[in-house]
Amino acid sequence: MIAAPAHIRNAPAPWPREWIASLKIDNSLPINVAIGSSLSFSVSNLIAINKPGMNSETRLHRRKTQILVALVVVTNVLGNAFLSRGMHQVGRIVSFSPVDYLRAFANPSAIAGILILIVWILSDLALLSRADLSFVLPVTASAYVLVALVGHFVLHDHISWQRWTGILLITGGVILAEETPERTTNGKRERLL
Amino acid sequence: MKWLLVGIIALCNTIGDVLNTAGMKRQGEVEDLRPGAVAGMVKKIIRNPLVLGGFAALAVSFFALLSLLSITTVSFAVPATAISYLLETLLAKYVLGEDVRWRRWAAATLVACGVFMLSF
Repeated sequence: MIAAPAHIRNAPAPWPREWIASLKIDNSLPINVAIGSSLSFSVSNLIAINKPGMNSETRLHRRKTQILVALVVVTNVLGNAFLSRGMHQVGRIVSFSPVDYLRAFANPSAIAGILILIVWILSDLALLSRADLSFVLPVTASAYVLVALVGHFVLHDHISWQRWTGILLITGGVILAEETPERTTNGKRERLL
Repeated sequence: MKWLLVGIIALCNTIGDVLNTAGMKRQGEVEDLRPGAVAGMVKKIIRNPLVLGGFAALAVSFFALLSLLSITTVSFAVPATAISYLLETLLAKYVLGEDVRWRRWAAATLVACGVFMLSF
């Protein structure tokens, strides 16, 4: 299992700082990757929805898809945060016995994390039912940016220039993907089927 | 060994996502997220061989990631898997028949580079 950084294992910091701190998988990479994307997401969302020439049906389809994208991003970040917090509370599990892993289910944070991740899986599948994979992938990468920016603005984590570059690149990718129609296989038979 | 695991992660992730997309498109667009409709969606999913295959591939990818994390650091594991963004876009175009033009290629490339940069 992933080792919790010492400051998380030993210092029960007040909620929500401790909760967000639990997002860190190790000290070398706080997955401090994250709020710029929510900003970029909202801006690109507005641009995409209010494009001239879009009829009301297309706009409604887009709107529903955007709600699903937001749900996928938020449940991904929250689910992983809760599960990570729960697993750190349970402690290191190095075992081949499923019983040891079942112990994790007794932890409220782990249970919350698993339930939120179930919502994430279902909303991701619902999103894939109405949008292209090549649209969903870059757009849901906003989750990385969300984690980094929460780390920066709430935890006051230092973000190196390399990480800021990463955040900007991902945000650029999200905006570009948002500029494309969410589904291009409409009316065509999916080739795999 | 670690590069073998990286390959397994990228490949299984890609196969899983492609199968899930194909399976969900076959099932039809989800329009409603009320509990009854979601229950109906779940019932269809458990009888959808493509989505079940997708889950199996994603499960293999997940356990390979856990193994990779046990022998390397996250700073190695995360950037190494960034390549799957490009691989998935390639398969989305040639296997799923999606209309991938320069904007989507650029988006996938930017995200892959961005994820890579985040590991520093």
